[in-house]
Amino acid sequence: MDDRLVLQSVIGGLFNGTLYGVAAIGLALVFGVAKIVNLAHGAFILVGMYLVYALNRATGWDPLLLVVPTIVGGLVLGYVVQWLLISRLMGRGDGPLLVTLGVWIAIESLCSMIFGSQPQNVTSALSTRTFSIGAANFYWSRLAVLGLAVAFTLALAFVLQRTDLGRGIRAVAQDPLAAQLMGLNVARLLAATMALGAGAAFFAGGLSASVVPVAPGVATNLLLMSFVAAVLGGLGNIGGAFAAGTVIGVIEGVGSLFLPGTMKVFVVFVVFIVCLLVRPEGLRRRA
Amino acid sequence: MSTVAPAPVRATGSPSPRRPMRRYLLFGLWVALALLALVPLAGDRQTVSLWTTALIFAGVSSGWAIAGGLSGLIPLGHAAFFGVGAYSSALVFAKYDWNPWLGIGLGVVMSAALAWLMTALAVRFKVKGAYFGLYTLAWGEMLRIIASNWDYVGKTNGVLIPFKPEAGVAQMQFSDPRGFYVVALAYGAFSMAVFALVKWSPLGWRLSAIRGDEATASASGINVSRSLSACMAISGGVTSIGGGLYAHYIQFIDPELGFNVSVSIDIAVRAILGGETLVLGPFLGSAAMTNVSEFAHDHLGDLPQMSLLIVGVAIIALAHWFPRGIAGVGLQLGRLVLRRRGSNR
Repeated sequence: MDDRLVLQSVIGGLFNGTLYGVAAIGLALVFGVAKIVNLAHGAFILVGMYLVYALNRATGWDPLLLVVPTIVGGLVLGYVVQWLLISRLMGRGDGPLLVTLGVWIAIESLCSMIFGSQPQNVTSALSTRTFSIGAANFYWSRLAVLGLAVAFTLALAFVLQRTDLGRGIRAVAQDPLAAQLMGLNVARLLAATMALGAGAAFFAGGLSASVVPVAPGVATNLLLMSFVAAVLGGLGNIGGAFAAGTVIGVIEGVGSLFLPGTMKVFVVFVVFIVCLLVRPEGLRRRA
Repeated sequence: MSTVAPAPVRATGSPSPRRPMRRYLLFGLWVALALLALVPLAGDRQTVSLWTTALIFAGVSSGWAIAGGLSGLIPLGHAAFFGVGAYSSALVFAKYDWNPWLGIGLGVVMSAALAWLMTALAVRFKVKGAYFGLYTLAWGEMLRIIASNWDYVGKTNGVLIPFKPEAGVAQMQFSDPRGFYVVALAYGAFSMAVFALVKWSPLGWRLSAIRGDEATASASGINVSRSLSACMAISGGVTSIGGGLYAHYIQFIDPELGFNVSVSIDIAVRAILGGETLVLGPFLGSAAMTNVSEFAHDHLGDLPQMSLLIVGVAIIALAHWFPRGIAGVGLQLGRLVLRRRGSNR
């Protein structure tokens, strides 16, 4: 097999994988702490993409710069959704899952009402120039996405490990009742968790805007990949989710060497099902 | 925040003879529904097509509810069965000129086998709750990817079902749209009947026990794997028939119409909206959803997405105030009427 092709696919997969990883950490966080499978995560990703697109149209700044302020939008939206819509239903069966489903459908329809269903393009200054690794060529924007994704994950890990907010969130994750008895405001901490999760989703969506077209289908694909990554990384495990996302990207890249067209994604789902069956708690033990 | 186990589905037998009022009310309701079902036959083309779609998806969602409502599983991949049914009936008719009903039968067998296999595997390896939802979703996605890359089934172009007027009614070719309405009506009624039969059968009681508390059910001698697999197989089979009918109704099927995640979600949403634990729930949910989207299409021409926004908001509202869906609201109203009568006596 052609060396250049192998390099191009595998490293290209790695670049995609960091995007999956950063999309997955939000999902993993919300599941680990609030025990909610957040179906609205894909909608949050979509809003992040369109926010970067709209800001780019309005200001003309580089989309890779606009990703950072976009996080604020995610924090606000996540907090509001959890505080207003979900917190009353916590612990009541499928209620929270249903609400996230409703939010998903509502947000997606709002987005297509506002922005239409045509794919839009956002170009970063970095997505016109290339660099090469061996014989393979990549846009600089891909490397920038990788760097930003790693930086964001590290920042989130820092917040969770070293700040009072993070300690509170981890306490709720371990035992909400005990956390409540120790005087923590569990409802607020859950809202903060959802806010961080949505912030990560907005960030992932915003990043993807500079490397792929902005369209609803892209967000759905990112949602599916982040489900897979979050489960494989051990739902609730931030580092695991990021690592799993990266691995999935590489698997997809390798898959594209052997399989035509979209069949590369097939490999990912096969790996997913096999892993779920063999190690449902994730590839790594929960930290 | 303590996690409260979902209440088991009420596994009561048929309405008790000691409460004749309730029996008459129920009987009247079914007669009224049966009569109402004939109304679209007198309507114009658009009315007929609207209710044909609503009834096909009522049947499909009833199929989903056999698993999603009665067992406590939350399957999110029913597009897999819908698509298998659609493709098998379409291919059999378009490629080999066989009777599409044969294709539907084939689809039912394949879907039921697939459902049994995936559920047995999931139970064997303890894939539960949210994981089960994502696991079924992944199966649906796999089939979508296969269908869009496989030459035999037309890749992303899908399969066109030619109109063969000479083939006639026995092969699901109707020159009058009302013919298809009758087929859809029969299917909707059939699915509801299967749902009711499962709900009030020993299998239904076992599922109710598993839904309440799986460990206790297992300890009381219930074969959890067998019960859940059987339930999913029936559910997948019923859903698959609807896929076959839908493909023939729109005379076309492609990977996105058959297997897309949004199809899985749509199937589940209709059932949940109407009330997935009640016989009439999926029908009410499906009727509501088809009507809302038709209304949005007609009156909000520039904003066709408005219907989805309404559905999204409705789901959030239901989760908060009416956890048993539209049918649950009806049930509460019915109880209110009965109670008032009782106190007057």
